[in-house]
Amino acid sequence: MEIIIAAALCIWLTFFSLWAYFTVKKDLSESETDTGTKEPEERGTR
Amino acid sequence: MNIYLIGMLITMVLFIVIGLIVSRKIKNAEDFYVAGRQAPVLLIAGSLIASYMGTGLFMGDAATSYKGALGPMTIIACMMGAGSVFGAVFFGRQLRRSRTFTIPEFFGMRFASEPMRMLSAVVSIVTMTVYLLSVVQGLGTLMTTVTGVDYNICVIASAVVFTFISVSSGSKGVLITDTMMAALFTLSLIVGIGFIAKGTGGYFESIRGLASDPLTSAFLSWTGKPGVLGATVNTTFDVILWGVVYGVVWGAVGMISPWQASRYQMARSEHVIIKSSFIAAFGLFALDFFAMIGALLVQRVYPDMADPSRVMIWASMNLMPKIIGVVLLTGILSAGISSATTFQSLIGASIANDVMRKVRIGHPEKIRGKQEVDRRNIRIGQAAMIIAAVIVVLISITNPPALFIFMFMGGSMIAGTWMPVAIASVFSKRVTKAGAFCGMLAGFLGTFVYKVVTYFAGWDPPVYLDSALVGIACNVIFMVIGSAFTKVTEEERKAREMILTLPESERDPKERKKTLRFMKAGCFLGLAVFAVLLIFWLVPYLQAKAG
Repeated sequence: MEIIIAAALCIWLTFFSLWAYFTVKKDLSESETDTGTKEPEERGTR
Repeated sequence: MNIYLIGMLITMVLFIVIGLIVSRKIKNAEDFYVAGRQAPVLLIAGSLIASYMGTGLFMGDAATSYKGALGPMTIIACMMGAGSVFGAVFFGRQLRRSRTFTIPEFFGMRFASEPMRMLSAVVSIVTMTVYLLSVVQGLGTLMTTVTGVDYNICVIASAVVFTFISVSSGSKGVLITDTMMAALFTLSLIVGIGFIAKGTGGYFESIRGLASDPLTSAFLSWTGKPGVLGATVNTTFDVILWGVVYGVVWGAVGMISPWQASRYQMARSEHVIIKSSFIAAFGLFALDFFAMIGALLVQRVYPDMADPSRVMIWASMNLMPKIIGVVLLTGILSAGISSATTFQSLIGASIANDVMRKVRIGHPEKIRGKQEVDRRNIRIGQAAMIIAAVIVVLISITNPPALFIFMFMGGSMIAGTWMPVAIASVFSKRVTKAGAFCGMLAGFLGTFVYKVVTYFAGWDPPVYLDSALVGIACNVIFMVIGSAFTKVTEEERKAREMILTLPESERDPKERKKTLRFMKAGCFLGLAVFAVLLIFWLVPYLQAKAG
């Protein structure tokens, strides 16, 4: 039981790490070819 | 004057001096509230760790583990780490893109709604105050136990120190002192655990000894000692569910809590956010796990401590050479002070930038320009921090310490009130300002009121009716209903598009390569945690049980 739960926690952490990795990879890859996006405007409230 | 008191006084004076030095570099509100948005990985990761690790961990978590709940507490530590990574990528980056000072300001901008900003500010201030209270009580208990000085004087002294740091140097000072304190308590914990293990007969021998003793064998199992988590947590299923529910709660804390996510508003870039989150995820797990297992080892030499929240204090004073004990105790003190400075600076930021915004912007004829606005903004924040400290000190002095309930209340409130709305703010096209407002309000009432009523009524609800789950359910239901009857405005649509757009400044190919390489290594986070659990817990425990 102990090993199963430790393995489940390992899978849980690995799942989120992989999800984060592929999301950031996709974002940054798109940015290489995408020239239509702009820097967010500085909001002039202060 | 005993040596522990001297050590603590030196540490407090040192951090005050650092606060004074940093205060000279504060030029405007951006410096004061978000450290000029220029913080590197070291400071963001250090502050993430220091803000999370407070007296609640060294005293609350350590006590729970000592009483026999290492297993379920470890589930929480692991799930919290996943929350940090998820939060950085799916909320922290978007938060930084908004160029806001506070998370309530982010919610107000994202949903183009002033009421939304005010509501989330109120939630943030209440939660921060509750949390600050738990830390101050912990600091008071720690200092009075170690030094013998009156509890009330200890509470006031600690409040003076963290208020001085927060008020004088703002977020810049908090980031620097947080990182130094994180280094101090990490180092002291590593050395301290070594001495605890030595004092209890060796690390692996102690684990085996606990595992083979019929009285303590259950302490090392995943289910823990029967009944240790309350009268309603009895079966194996209840214990696992308890761990998962609070894992979700603390995952939410790692993901979107003000004292974690706000660090991302101070980061130099999104690359810094991502790298810091992986470092913090592993660092928090490791520190939490070893603090808890260190407390559990004490069972070998002092099995029936009357007040288990003092287990690490006792170990520092009885199982270590005096100088190492002083270092560990000042490390725990630093953990408390670093959390307190973060909470207090966030209370000040939210009151100045969200609640009192109209006051700050008002009387334009009297305001000579941005410098004057900044100056007034900082003054309001500083006044708010001092008032918060006075309130918390008064409550701490008049109420008995109840670390665990306050700490878990803060986490539950963040999970029930903010988490669904924060996730929807990034992922959902259809959630409207009305839906988000209704969801957050229902989540707040569902969590806070329910928790207070059940606590004071003396009713211990079953795990599946925990206040965090009730709050999350209320939040989602009302968010869906509110959004179903209203439409997303053009302003909201544009705000979402803005936070989902990668800024030009993040597109440097070199940085991109470095970040992706770092994240690739980060994918082994789960395996690293698994290895730690196997080596330092499961293998010696299962070997002893089998043999």
